[in-house]
Amino acid sequence: MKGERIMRTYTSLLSKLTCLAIFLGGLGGFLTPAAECVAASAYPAKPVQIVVAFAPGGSSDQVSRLLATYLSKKWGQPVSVVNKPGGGGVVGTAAVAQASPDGYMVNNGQINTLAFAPAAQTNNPYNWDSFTYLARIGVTPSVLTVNANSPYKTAKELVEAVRKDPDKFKTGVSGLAGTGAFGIAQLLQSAGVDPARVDMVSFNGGVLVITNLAGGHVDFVAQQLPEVLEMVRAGRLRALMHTNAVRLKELPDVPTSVEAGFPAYNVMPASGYVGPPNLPQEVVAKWETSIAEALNDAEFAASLEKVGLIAAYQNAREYRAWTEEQYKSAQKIAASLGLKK
Amino acid sequence: MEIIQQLAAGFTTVLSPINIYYCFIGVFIGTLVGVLPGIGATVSIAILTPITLGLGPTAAIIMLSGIYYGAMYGGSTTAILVNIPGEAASVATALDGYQMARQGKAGPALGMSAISSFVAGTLSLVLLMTLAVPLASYALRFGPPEYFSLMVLGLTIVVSLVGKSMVKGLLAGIFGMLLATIGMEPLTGQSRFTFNSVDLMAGIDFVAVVVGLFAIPEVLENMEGPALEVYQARLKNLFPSRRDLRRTGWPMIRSAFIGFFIGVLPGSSGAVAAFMAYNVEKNISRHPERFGEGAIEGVAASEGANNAAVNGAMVPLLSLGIPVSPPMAVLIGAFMIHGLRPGPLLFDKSPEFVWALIASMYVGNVILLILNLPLVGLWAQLIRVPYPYLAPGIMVLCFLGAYGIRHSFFDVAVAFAMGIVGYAMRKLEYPAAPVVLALILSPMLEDALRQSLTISKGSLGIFVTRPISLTLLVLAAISVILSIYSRRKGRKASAAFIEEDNT
Repeated sequence: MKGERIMRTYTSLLSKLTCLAIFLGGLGGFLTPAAECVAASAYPAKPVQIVVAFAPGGSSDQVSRLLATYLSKKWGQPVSVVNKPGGGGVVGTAAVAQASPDGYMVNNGQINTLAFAPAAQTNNPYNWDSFTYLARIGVTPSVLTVNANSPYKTAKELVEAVRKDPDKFKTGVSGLAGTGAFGIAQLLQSAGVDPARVDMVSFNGGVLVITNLAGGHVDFVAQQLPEVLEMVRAGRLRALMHTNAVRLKELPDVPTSVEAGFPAYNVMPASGYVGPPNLPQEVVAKWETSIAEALNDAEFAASLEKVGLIAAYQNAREYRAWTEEQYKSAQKIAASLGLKK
Repeated sequence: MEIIQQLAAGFTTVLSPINIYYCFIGVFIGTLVGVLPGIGATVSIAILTPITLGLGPTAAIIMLSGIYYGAMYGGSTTAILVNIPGEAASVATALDGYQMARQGKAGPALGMSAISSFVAGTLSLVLLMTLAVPLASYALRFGPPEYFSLMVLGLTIVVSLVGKSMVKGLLAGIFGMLLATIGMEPLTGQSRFTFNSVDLMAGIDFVAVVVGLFAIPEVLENMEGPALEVYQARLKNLFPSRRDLRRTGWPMIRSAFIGFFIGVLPGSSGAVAAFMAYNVEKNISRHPERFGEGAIEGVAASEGANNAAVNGAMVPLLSLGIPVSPPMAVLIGAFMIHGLRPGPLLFDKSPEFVWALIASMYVGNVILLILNLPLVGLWAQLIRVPYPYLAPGIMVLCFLGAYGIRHSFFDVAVAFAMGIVGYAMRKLEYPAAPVVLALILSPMLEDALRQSLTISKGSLGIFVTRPISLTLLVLAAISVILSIYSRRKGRKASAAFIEEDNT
């Protein structure tokens, strides 16, 4: 009797589970756009993967997921995001550099992974020119920021104080080969301070840098705009200047680095798309035009702004030239930080 | 009073049918993906975020955070049934939960995990509501030296996990620390022990090690015998008995507090909270020898703590805009896409949203309980499948989990290699849990140590001159003493037990 009852419950539960499975299957079908577009030869003829070399949640991931959703609709082919985190972004980026050159695996390139890592790290598995550049999509300015309790109200005051007594100051960065460390090195060098004399405390990610600045554990940082914006607005942190060419509408009272008198501080974290070397011209053209169109799409542009990226399109040629420039200046900075012999 | 008013307003928003529906969908999806190792909350939230664009911000965030705590809960299912902790936070659950399953008590273990998650989850929500604002500044006071001392305190838990031989247990812990050094070093990005291999630069992934050390050796060892008697065939009862509930009352409450306060700290994790709660229960238990052999308090403590940690993590997220853990980081991204800017002003600017979210967490906890108690029966039936059929499935799940986390076949190879290492360790009676604990803690320990020494210009004094750090170090010393004491007590008790048995 009891056995039968258990059996009955079991079967009924099993049938419920089957229903659930079917439900989920349906949901899955709803999530991924139909994959059977038979468009013969034109790129893309099958699903495309965007490799994000960082864990989900970061800027690289957010932008790529928005773009993937947009491109899936536009191309009628599923475009998906694959996270391959590790090694500060080097691992996923290296995987794309070695992918087959057909355009079905591309990478969200960040200035850190494309230019700074090859310039600063020994044994980096690729160089800045190991890629086919497709297009740059946007930038996020670097913002020189102090705690709201800091006595320094302007960039000049801060730099002056650091120049007098560099040993007294601590700065927070996310990795010594990151945009934060490079921005600070640019600033200090241009002010005649040896960057190696200011203690750089390296944290695992921008979030922890900001947390430690807000907690008063470090004195100043140069992090990206979305990371500091809300804390600055709430009056917990104070922004002194930023690297954007013109004033930011989010922080209209904060001068650009040129206005503040430190034009050498110009590091500009950027996000774009690259593929393995020797991609066909057809693929490059498709990405160039599609990204340009995405940026002209009001809805896409609005969501891009929400995740904190300022649209700053560059076509394949411009993006490549710009990255090369970044790489060369990064080499000099890396030497001054004692990173690469 | 103001809190209650606002909360009531929050409930009014959430208890609309459409929001309950989204809350249910989120918790449901979360539970399902949580059951599969390697496909955790982080990935599911990331995938679903663009799809929620059509919903209003409140509905979307309610659904996405439902995924988060659903997944935290779901991870315990495979940990208990087949010894595969799908994420770091479930490792401590597996220690006793799996032993319970083998003794035919899978039902009570799973039921306890649901009840404890619910109780600790609800309690910690009360803490979240009342303490969020003052606690935000407490979290900020944790600088590198404080984290270092916290990690030292965490590492002392190894003493509780060593098993029979202290030396072997400590060696296992050191092995875990060494594994953690593989990859790119966090400060300057130089490679360590990578032999120019790009795969090794990414470091050794946690899930690959856990399935390798826990699940694979278990299957291999069970296959040595006739393999039919792995689980005691008769399922005793499906739900925790009244005695179980009495026993676990206090552990649930303590774990709510431990989990919540650890969860508040950016950079710590549910795993640290779960291990700490487990350690406390073992040390204050009158029968510490039962831990690791199927003590239901162990399951209650670790599950309660990891759920409470989720709510603790909401403190810095809502009051400062700081994501504590990877799933939180994805969640913050979802906030932004929906036009909400998490930061110190969120409470002031969008109070109706914040309170709706908090109310939705209460509702989500209830849904989680309603959803999972009936499922306990179903899951518990799983182990009636003859082991020879079950085992290959377990293996497949292991490798799937190892692959899923970073989409890397190298991680599958690591899981395989770790499986062999784990099997050898088992035969030589080296415990696996200290390896995992050290692997979780030592990267944070190393970061914090080097950051502290940069700040202090090389002086170790920084760890004892700062009050919070000093307190934590003293707690670490107490923890070691207590663990050793409870270990002695456990030995005596089990010796007495054997004598009793013999007579």
